[in-house]
Amino acid sequence: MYVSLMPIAHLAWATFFRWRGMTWLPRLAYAYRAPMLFAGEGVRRGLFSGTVGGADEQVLAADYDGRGDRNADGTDMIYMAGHGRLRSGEFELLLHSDEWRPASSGLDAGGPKIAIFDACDLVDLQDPRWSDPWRAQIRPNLRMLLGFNSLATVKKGAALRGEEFASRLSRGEPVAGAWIGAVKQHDAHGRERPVAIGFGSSVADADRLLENATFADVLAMPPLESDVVVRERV
Amino acid sequence: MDELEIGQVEEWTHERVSSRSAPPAYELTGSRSQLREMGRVGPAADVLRESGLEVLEFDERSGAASFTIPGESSRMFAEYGGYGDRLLWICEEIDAREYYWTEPSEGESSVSAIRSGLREDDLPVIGPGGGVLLTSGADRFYCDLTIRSRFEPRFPEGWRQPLFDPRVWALEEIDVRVFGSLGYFEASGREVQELLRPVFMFVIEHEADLERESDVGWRRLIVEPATELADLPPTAGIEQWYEPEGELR
Repeated sequence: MYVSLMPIAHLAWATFFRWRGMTWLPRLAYAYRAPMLFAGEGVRRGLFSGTVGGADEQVLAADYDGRGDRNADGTDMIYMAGHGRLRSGEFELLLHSDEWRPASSGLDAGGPKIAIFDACDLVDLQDPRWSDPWRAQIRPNLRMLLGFNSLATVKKGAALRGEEFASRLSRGEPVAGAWIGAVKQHDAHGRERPVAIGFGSSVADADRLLENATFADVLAMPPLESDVVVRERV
Repeated sequence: MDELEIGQVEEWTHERVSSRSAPPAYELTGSRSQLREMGRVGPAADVLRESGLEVLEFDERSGAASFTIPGESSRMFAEYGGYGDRLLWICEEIDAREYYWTEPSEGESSVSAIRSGLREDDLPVIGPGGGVLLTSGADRFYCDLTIRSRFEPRFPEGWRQPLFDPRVWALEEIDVRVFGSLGYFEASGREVQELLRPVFMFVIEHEADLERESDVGWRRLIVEPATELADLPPTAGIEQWYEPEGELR
């Protein structure tokens, strides 16, 4: 039996949509690029090995939220791309024909340490209760969420943020800053607002995570037990 | 970027082009021999090393360089007067432009940036490149410099009318915001770019309406060449950013 000692990154994306039977949602023709460029660069640099959860109609919320499989379990990080939106303050990732609410299910005890949602509106930091859905239940493994506190541009050139992020991780930059820098470095118009969210056992713990923790540091962190503190960095 | 009414784009474009002649494009170079011919010290990595900075990576194809500067992340980089001035000097050595520190946007605290503009053509450099991005770490700033040296100018045949019509790109949505800018487009450090050319850049945004159960927010970015250049396709210099209308519909 082959056992990988490398961290595992799990990828999935949606480029076109039949969500709730609607075919008019804007296509994200290049949504595959950011996760794939991330994986290509990360694997090339020996940072992790990658698994692909699928594309478009292959990617089902049931395979993440526990109704069917739990695809995020057993991985160290996930990188998913599609449409994103907030509903009642909770983030939904819209897949080809489905929606997944990762704050409610699927990033649980067996899940990844880092989750990247390359999609619009992971949070709205202007909402004073933005962290409530993420605080509502303990996810022992999850230490960092990366995404956008704004709409997100999905474009051939903008997708290079995926490659940039892996490159920055491999040269030892702290994860939160690496994500923010990678997005801003491929922001053509200055309107992207990347965000990093840290989960810690205290304010100091979460702040240290957002300030200092490298990829290896985050993967080595012990599971959280209780009283999870949620902090953000922009 | 200027915020526009959806029906104003044509008028806005006309105002931009009617009062001036079409500006040139510039061939770009990163080659040491051409740079020396131009009297420059060398590519960004050489200039940075000669300034005593630790270069982490240098991309031979784009000339982009990543380096670090020690510092406390609790303070904005521009407060470090010595390094701030030195960085502006380094940028000027790589390509003679007007460089300036930008104010962080509201809600951003991790990044600082130097941006640029071309004095002789009175246009800003827009796009992901054309400056230095500094991301604060615990005890240092991670810096990414993406400034390409200009070589020969290429004079255009004239302005090119943008094909962009926001009423088409906005799909069925009425509730959209449109932003426009005109400037030289410099690509990111991960892209090979051989031509710095003037472009029109438009952004269309639709914020999801929380009252509409099936509404979804989106942003579209349209980059179009602003001038006609003989023997060059409209994609030249903006390969990763120019997508003819219809490609994404």
